[in-house]
Amino acid sequence: MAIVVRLDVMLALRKVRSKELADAIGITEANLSLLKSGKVKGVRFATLEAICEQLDCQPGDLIEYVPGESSA
Amino acid sequence: MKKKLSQNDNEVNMQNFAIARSARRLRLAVLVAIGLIVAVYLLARFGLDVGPVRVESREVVDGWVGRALVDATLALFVVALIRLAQMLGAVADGPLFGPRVTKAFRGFAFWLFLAMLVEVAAGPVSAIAKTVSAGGGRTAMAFELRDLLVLAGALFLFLLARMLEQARAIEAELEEIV
Repeated sequence: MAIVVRLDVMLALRKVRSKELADAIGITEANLSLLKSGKVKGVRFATLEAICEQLDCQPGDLIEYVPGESSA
Repeated sequence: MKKKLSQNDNEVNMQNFAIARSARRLRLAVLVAIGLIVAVYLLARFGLDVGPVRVESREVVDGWVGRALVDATLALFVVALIRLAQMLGAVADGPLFGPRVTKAFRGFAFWLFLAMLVEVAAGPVSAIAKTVSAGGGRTAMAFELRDLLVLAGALFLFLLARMLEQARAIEAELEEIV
């Protein structure tokens, strides 16, 4: 898919662990892991808002459109 | 808090285990029923005696057409029961309300409806065919209210099963949105 999730990059930049973020935004670590790997069909605005709030970033910092990317 | 969650998980697991066990038992009962139905039907079809018991079949329509219609109805009914057994197997394997379960349930309802349709429509269709082959005229078609109610029930069951399958598909899609 041409949409690439950059959540792992933001987590590394903010020095936040997946578990901490998952607890803070109220989703399971398993779902956060799926989101990080881009193996989800969609993201709720509420989830996106919570992540942006916790990591002090914009939605564009988390997801990126890369033309030509074809991984699942 | 974690202890309470773990206790809830255990209760849910025990309930799932109990449902899976019931599903396995019910599946076995359905498979036994299929065997019995087929055995009894074959006895009736070939007019065999089992000790003092004699099983006979009476067709609504006379002749080989009548026998073929009964054969078809029974075959459809057995297919429906096989789909039911598959559904129960899927329930036992889990997840309890997974795509396999809803698909098999829809299959069961569909074949059951088809069996009932053949059963109910056999008489009138045969009457029409006779009239047409005799060169036309008037045909009297009689429907039993009981048969129509059974047919309506099977149709509603099929529509319900189809709705459940669609609901499961939507649920599966929502599960992939975090």
